[in-house]
Amino acid sequence: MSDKGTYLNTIAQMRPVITGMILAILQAFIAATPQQAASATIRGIVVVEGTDNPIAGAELTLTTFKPFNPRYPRQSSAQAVPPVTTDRDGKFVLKSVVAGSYRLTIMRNGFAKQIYGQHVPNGPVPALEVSEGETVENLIIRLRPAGSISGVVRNTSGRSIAGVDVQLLQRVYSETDDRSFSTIASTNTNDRGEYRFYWASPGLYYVRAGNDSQCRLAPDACEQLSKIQTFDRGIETGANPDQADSYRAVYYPGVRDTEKAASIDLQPGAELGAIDFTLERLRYHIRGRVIDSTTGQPPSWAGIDIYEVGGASGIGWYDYTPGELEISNLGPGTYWVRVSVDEPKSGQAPLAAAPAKFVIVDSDIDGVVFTLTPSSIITGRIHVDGDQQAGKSLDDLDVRLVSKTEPSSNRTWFQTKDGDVTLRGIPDGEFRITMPTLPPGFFLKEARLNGVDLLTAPAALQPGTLELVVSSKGGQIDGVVWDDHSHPMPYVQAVLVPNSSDRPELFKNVITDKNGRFRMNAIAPSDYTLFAWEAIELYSWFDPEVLKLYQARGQAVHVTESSRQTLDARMIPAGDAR
Amino acid sequence: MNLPIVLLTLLLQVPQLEVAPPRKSSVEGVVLRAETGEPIEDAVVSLASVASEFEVSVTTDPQGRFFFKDLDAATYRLIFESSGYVIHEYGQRAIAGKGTPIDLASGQELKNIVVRLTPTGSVSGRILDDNTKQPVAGMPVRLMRFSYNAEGEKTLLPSGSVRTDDRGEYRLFFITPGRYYLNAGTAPGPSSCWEFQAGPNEVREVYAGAYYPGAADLKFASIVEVQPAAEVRGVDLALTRTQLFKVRGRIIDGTTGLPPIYSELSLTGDYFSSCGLEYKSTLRNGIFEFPDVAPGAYSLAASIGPRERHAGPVPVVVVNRDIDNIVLTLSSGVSISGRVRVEGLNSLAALTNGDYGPGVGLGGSGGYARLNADGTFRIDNVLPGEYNLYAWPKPSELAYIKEARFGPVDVLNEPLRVTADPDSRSLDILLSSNVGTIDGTALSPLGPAPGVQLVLVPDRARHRLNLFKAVMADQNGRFNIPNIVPGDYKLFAWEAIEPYSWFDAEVLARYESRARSIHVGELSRQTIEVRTMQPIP
Repeated sequence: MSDKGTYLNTIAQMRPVITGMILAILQAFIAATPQQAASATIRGIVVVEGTDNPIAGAELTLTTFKPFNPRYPRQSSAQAVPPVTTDRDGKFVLKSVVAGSYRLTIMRNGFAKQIYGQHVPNGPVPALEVSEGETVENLIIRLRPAGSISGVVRNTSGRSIAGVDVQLLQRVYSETDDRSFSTIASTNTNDRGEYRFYWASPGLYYVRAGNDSQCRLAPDACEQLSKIQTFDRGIETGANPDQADSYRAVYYPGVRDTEKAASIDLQPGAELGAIDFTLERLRYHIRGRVIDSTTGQPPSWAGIDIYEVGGASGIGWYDYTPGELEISNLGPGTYWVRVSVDEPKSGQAPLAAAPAKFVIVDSDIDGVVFTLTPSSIITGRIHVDGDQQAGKSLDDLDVRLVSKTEPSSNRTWFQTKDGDVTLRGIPDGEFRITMPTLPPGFFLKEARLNGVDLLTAPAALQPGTLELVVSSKGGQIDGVVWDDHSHPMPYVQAVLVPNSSDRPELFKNVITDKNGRFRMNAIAPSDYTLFAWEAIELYSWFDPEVLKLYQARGQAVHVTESSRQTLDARMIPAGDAR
Repeated sequence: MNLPIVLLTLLLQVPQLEVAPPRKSSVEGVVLRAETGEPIEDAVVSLASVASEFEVSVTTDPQGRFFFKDLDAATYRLIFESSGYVIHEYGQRAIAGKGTPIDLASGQELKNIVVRLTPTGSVSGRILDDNTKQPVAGMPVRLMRFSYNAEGEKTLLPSGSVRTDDRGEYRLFFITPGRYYLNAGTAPGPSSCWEFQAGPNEVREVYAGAYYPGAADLKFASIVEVQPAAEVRGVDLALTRTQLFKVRGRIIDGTTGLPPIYSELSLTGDYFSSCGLEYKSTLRNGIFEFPDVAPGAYSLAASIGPRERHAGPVPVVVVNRDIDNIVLTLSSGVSISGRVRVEGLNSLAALTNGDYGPGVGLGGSGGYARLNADGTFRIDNVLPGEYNLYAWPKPSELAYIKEARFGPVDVLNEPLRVTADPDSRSLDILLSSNVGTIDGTALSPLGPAPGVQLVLVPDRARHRLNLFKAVMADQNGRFNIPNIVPGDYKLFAWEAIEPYSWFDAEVLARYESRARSIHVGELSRQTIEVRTMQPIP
């Protein structure tokens, strides 16, 4: 035998031995690896609230926890384990849960979605803390049966109307204190005028019906198809028209003013029918001409801003060919119309007509003349006091006019670009100025029009120069919220309420972190009261009636420019004073 | 005075002829409900200029009357819309047919336009879970109908959809009268394509699609017939609960044998899922996965670049389990070479139509090629499959395909089959311009019939859709059918027929006995009179 042959034979004989050795080493390695951390188990049952009746087929989803952020109440996160479904006895088991912080969501068709630990709809949710190897037994989850709201929509002749937009709304308090609604669901009436919202969580709702969406109010703004295009497309798709008319939108039971809208209290499992509407056709128009006073002729182009008091706003486009302006599909009501030329021919000053108010009762308005002059303009500049670098992003900031006497006319009438501010077409009335979208760390320190203060008190507006000062030298408060037993309270609401009730933009609200701490900054120098609540409906602190109930439980705070203070706040427990 | 100068002065003072300003025109008429003749109030009547963007709309009064004034002379389409009625254009003889534009002269007062609108119908019912017998909420319910397009392709078109409410009830309304199939169930397709968004308290449940009265396959479905103003009730359906599945597999580049670095895949559903999932990815080892696919029939295809390499489309049917182990092989296809000869023309150059030189193509995206000067061609990147042959300029314009053989196979009457193996057969095509023409008059019992639909249908080779020729008679009932491929035909003349429904064999069968047989010879020209047929429902 050659050496090579001996060598090969030796390898061949050794192969099983070598394999065996390798396997043995691997096994030893696996045995030496430390054990996986013991995973936790969560067991429980889902029942109908107020009873012991189990709910089969409920879906439970465990996701990794993210602290509640009021700006993004619906942010989603990753699933920690695959979802499980309750069995016939309503029972569930979540296995192989790694230690950590979680959010547990429970859903079943016909019931309101539930997040374990959430007291208030869209409110903060404490984390579900799971420790290593823990077994949570007997978690009881109570689901509230959902309800339905339905009705019929008719016109003033009593005939049912198809294709009407109907929306289910809930009231929300926004950061700027405008009472407004959030749309929970929307649908259209069928050919019998019927609509139905189902699987709605119990609670207070409002319903709005009508077809005065922006596109119907001013079709040109929406680039609608021509009649021929619509027809040919309808032939292709077999679609027939539902409703060509515009109907003024109203809130149940038939009012346009949101303050007078009736709330509908949907109890668990309730079927509320006969939430009916009678709608008025939008059949009137405003017609007129636009004249450039510097030339005596109609301008080649003009922008038109239409705003209905207590209603929708829309944009109409001015058709220069016939030299006429028409705003159609209007119902009885009060309208502001502002006409301006934003980008005049070079060398020409911008033009505007003062916003004009029209009241439509039961007939058209014809023969209006809008005269554009160069003088109905306010220009200004935003200055930065303090951190110049951070103040760089001055573009796209809103400068708002706020009127206390006519709060529904609060609007961003100004345009801002690179720190320059322009208002074309000065409205009548007395206004203050706010800037609701400042970058973090800044507050509005001064707002002067021709030297007159518009920050703290309203005044009439004159053409001229607006000076705005935005400052990074606001006050700062660091604090801890404690309960009555001296425990720091995580995930509760801390709110700084200005003592002067005229400036809702001064409110500050934050949620404490998991150690009960909070920080507020960019606070405008003033006097405030600090409150901390365990459970309160988001933004209801803007309501003076709500604040009255807690007046004695707040803490006086005085804030000066660039001040830094540390505070302890006493939490108002849920259920108190209510 | 000097007479010539006087005359000259007089001549120079001849008054200018004044051009009268164009006079405005008007259009008026009445809108009535079909069958009963009741006037329709609040109908929206629109006059839309064909040549410009001018449009104006008015609404009918309580007597159904409408009136347009101060109109310029032009050609207009007159369109009628009213809630609860089928949309209509003046002059339409059948639902979805062509309307008749109105030529309005200067100063013309067009009166007495009478239009009858067909009331729409409705379909309602309940959808239940076939296991628990509980109502199924939030489930899309769709009406669909078969329809032909201009190319003779039959497709199932959706014609409205709604969702059931929490009682499982649905109502489809404002339905154009016709014959439909009703389908309910989770739309085939990935969950991102579903027609409706889930509500805040809603858990999406997946139900397998089915056709009324309960068939998964359209072949066993029943027609739901909607008559004008009819309320069709009780169209109930029981659905089977199912789940979403995965479709997984691998792609291999046929030229390298390895996975491609990048490829575009698409999984498209039939019929009502116009949303196909485009899954662009840098594939890891060429593995793809479509994660959330509802049960249904799909086509899966992959490609790199517009024409570099393709795989599929392969049919994928998801029923009740995941689909694994699909292997798609990207190939660049084979080349098909051939030659075109012409008869009756001086040269191929005579076929040039503007910028488009003559060419040959394989229908169904098999590819195409221009002809070389000597009539030879080569079509590259032809993927395995079956194709119909076509030439352009289209037959019926300047020339037609008289003969076509792919090796021994007659591909005029049989599809052209291509495999993955390189093919040495030659595709030999004979084009001819020896077409025939028919002129004629369509006659109704009352005399020449304007606006009538005439269709020349090949007598035997009905599968050759490009042989069908459709024209409409003019104001005087006269028509002309040019560029007819020689052969035997039947000529149908309809008072009113749904466009392209003549591609439907069932439709033709009803009228076959009254159609007129015609033989069209090469280079023939004939003049005929033909009687119109009343619609048979």
